[in-house]
Amino acid sequence: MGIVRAFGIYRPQPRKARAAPPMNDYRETLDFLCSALQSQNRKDIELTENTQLVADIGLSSLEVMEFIEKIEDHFDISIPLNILPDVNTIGDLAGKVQELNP
Amino acid sequence: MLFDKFQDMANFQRELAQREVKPFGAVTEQILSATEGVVEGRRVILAGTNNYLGLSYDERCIRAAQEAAARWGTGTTGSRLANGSFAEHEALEHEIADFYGVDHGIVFSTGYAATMGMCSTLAGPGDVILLDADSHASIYAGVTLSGADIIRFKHNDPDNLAVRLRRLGDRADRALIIAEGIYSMYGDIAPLREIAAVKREYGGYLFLDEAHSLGTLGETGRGAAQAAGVEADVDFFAGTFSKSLGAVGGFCVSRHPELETIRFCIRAYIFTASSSPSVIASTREALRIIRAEPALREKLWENAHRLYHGLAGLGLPVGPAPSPVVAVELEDRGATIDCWKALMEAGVYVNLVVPPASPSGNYLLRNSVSAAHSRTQIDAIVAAYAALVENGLTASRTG
Repeated sequence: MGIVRAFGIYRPQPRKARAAPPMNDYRETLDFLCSALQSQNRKDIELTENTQLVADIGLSSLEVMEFIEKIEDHFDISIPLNILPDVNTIGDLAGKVQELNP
Repeated sequence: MLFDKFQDMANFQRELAQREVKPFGAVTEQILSATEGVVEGRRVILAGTNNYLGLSYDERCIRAAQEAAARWGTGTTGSRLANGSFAEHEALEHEIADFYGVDHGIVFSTGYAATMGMCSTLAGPGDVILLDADSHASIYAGVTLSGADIIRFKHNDPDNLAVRLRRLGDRADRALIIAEGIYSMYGDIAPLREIAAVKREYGGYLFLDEAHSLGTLGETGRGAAQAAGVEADVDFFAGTFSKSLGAVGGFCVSRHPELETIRFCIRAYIFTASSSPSVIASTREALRIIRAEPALREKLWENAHRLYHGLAGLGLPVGPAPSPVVAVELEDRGATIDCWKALMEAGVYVNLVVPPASPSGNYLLRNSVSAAHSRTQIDAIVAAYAALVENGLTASRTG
């Protein structure tokens, strides 16, 4: 139910111990980003490191944030909003994820 | 061309004009009471004003403003750091700090300046800010100016906050955590007991914006932290004079003596003129009334429950619990605009909220309740919504 998500009703959850961070090879990061983006790839274009998130895929600002959250959960990192102005392509984002998750 | 980026907005405004609605910037031609006015040529019940306690039209507040204008003049014509600190400003700073039981307070010219100014100044380059994803635009503006690393946590999700503090490692201790008491769009209340517990576990400083909760929540009206019993965990309280207090302006209070030094570093405080003395005087009187008359808060909540249950009873998707803000969330833009127009024609003014002001991609009919609403007025608002439901205008609702 969309509305429950939107209202953000708080339900306590058991705290998870830190999992070992996934391997972080640039190509693997890129592959993960591309596969994670497939569900939002409405125009069904080919996703490469040069694909632009907004101009090519057409992500809204809300979708960009949802995508960022997916990446954060997967790599167990927090991506500061400050880096977003420098990110246009999937490759740009993969590079930032690498920097944040050495 | 420089103006190309405004084309979408120009198109939206044209569409609204064609539909013959003016939801943004509707002109109030006459104020008849705290809850009634003439807007765009129509006599309407005001149900979208944030005037939670109805004090904007309280005769004691009006008199205080009139007397201050006669005594001090219409404006200070200067910054608080230059010629704009009058005895009124200083008195209000003492009174608002005293209200919160702390020693230090700063008064700002608007609520926007208070949160934007504090958030842009408290943290700087090298620091980390953790803010609730649904934070107000003034908070986003402030953190963007700060130069700190800005990290969002999921709205009202203390577990997500904990995960992000853990990821910070040693930096968690000096992180600035930002939350609001009541969120302005849906009226949902922050889980502050849990947020405070997370802060105790990982460290950091908690900045809480009580803009919509001052005067509406807590045993003495101090807000959501008082209601949750966690005021000792809050490092900085911010808020506004433009909602429960019925005027305009903002504040930050803190138990940290460093606030007195920080004051001299806040650009939104230094490089703007201070509030008109009349505004400060009416705010002081309104604060006195809030402290002396808890019955106003009881009346507000009685009305909030009446409106919430009335709208929920129609099957409309309202939030998870009654609140001074009751929002009806719809998916279809055109239908929501039609609803807004129909409500105006039925004599009810509410707020139309479109993305990105609404946190999701949906559209809101946002109602704010006042202690000054009569039962008859609340029932009239519910009846106007009932007509929308009967006419099928809300059929596209979510949920």
